Amino acid sequence: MGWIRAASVPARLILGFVFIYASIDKILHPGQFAELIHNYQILPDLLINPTAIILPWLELILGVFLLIGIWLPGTVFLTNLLLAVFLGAMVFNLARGLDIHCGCFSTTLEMGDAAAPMVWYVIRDSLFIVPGIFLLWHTLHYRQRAQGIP
Amino acid sequence: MREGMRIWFHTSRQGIWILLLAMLLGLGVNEFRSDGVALFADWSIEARLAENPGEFALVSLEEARKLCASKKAVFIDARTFEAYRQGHILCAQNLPWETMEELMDGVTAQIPLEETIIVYCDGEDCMLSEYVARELFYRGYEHVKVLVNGWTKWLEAGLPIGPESGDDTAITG
Repeated sequence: MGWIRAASVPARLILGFVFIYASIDKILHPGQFAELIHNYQILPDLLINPTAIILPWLELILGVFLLIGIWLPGTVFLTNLLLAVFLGAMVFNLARGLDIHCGCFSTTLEMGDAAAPMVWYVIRDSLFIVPGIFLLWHTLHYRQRAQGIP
Repeated sequence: MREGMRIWFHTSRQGIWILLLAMLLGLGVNEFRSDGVALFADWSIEARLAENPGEFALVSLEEARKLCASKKAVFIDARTFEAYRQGHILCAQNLPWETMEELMDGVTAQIPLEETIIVYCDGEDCMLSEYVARELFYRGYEHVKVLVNGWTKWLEAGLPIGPESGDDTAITG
């Protein structure tokens, strides 16, 4: 099963770079990121700023750990958890017709206008889930059985 | 079974350490950086107004109704072209937030700086009206007001709405 081991490397690298890239702008502009979280209208006000402060660093740590391949069981589990939360938040807001760019509901939101970028984000994040799930399976089951817990 | 438990215990322990590391780094860096954000903040529009006093004020539905009826203010609908076309406050012109940059020259050409402007969008947390109001303020308009959740409030109150036949009140660049 050499291909499984070989495929886990690009999967780690892709997700690692994506997480690092995604974290940098958020770390540089915490105020803007807090505003974006507010626009999602999912978290209570009390949790918006703590999330804006901590989440980008969590993404950065996960990205770095994925790249260098340490603490993989915990890293891969949290990576999948974050991907699922991001995707869930977007699908939830797409379903209730909320534009996350402005935090505004629109009862007239239809495919083709403001909803179009949201659909694209959902598709993009769904694609990231694929290497995420593969890594989770590889790290928690295949690798443990083949080599024992690292 | 025992092996499975061991794997999950191991995974959870690593996950908790990673979370603690992220909290330590995030809170630590935020504490020492000059542009850090407050750990807890009030996100109501009133609190945002208090942070930036003078940029714009809030207007009540009753006051907005009077200003619309007496034509003593310019109403700006900050929602999309499509939302505006489907229905808007009768006296409102459309200035979608996403096209604000391109259309702002048209606005300043059509509306005198001393005019009272009421901006609205839809939803208690909709920030489009706030973005547009702030931009208008920085363009020199000193009497800018926001009608929070304007479209829904106006509809629920049964106040006059457009479009009327031949309605052509969108702001053009």
